[in-house]
Amino acid sequence: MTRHETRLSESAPVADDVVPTWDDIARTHRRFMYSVAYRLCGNHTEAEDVVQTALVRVERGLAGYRPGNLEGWLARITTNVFLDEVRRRRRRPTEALPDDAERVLVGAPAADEAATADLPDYIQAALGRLSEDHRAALVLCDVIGMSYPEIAEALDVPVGTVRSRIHRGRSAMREMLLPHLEVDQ
Amino acid sequence: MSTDAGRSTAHDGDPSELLSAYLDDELTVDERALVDEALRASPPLRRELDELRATQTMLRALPLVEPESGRLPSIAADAAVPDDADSATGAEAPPGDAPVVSLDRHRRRRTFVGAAIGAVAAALLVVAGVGATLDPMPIAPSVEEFAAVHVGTSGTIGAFDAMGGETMDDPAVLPSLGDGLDRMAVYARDELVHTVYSDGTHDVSVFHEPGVVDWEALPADGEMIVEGPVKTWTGVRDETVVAITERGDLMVVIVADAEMGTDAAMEKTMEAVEMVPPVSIERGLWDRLSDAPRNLIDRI
Repeated sequence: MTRHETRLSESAPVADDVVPTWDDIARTHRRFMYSVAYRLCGNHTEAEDVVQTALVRVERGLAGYRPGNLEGWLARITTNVFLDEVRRRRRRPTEALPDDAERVLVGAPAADEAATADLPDYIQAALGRLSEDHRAALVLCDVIGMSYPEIAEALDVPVGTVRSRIHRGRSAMREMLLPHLEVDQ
Repeated sequence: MSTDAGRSTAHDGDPSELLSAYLDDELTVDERALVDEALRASPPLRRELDELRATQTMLRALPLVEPESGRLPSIAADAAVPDDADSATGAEAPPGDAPVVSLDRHRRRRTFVGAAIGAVAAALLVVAGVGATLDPMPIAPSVEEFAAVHVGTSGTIGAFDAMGGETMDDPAVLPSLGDGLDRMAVYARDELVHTVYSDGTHDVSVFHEPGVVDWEALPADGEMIVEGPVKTWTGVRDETVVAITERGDLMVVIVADAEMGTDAAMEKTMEAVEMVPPVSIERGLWDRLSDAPRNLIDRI
């Protein structure tokens, strides 16, 4: 169970020892998945696309799901959809921009602008300036509340890499948010 | 505190590199002792730790994020292109991957990019629909967006896109509003249906979507008309007259060209309000929602 499960879930979470149905997941964990996606993408349009794709993967993956940390599993799927999309875009750097200019590519140079346009939130804007890898690790840690080993499993990287990414990401956030930080003198 | 002796210690002995893991209680006993000792000796390091903790606190306090409310597609701006672009940019383009069935050609007062309304609405509404519950959702409709969608689509209807024709069976989709205002096109994606009626000169759009109107969220500059149990909000936006009401389990929004004259548009709008029958959604919202990703799965 993640730190914010009760805050983000719609209703009573599915018991950890029960394999939920797709409907259960989409009903009770949609806000959780959307929040993860939004914090990663920084704008609603991309977050909606990520959640849609993640729900497809959830449906496909349910047969192999073993009861346990459901939201950790959902966060993992959502985050990997996001990262897959980033990688896909990078593999096609010459891909034409979409007709609708707001649908800025995740990770593209203008992603920061999209993030700030959708949410005038300096924290979200700062998150959008992190590299996608650092952002993913930091969101899973600080926003979702996953442990380092859980994040390492989710991202398929060593725990040491998670530790490094979180520290780099949090330090960069600290620099950007310094004027807003409340620290005892 | 972790006692995982096998955990990476690739920090070159620099305690500052361990501060985040220190905060997260993800250090080994030895690493934690190293950081504790360094903190006792270094005020700047303590300061850095405090700032990292404050950063973490801010991130943890980030609010719950919801899909944008009343997310009737802000697709008008995306759908409409300048007149001179005309067919070059795809007025005839199919809306994404969705099936398109051509209906009668209609006048082309403005160019319309069919692809945008299909693809963007699909992206928006599939997940906006995720927010649906079995109880009618309160919707805070954006009057401006409804008006903009109407303006962006009217006058150039050449395609009918109805997700397999399902909307044609929907009792809320009327064949005519009378006075020659016949149905010219229906755009449907999941929960939102946009029907365009025209008499060849003026257009009226009827939108319907499962849910109830969040009356408190409507702009104060409109007029509220109450007739028995039926409430209707009316107002003028961007050369259109907009009426918002409820029918059964549906929120219904009607937009008429004000160029037919504001009074005439208001009259036509209110007539349309009267004509829309009270309907209930036969299929559960959740069934419809479930279909969207499953249809996607089937196509993959």
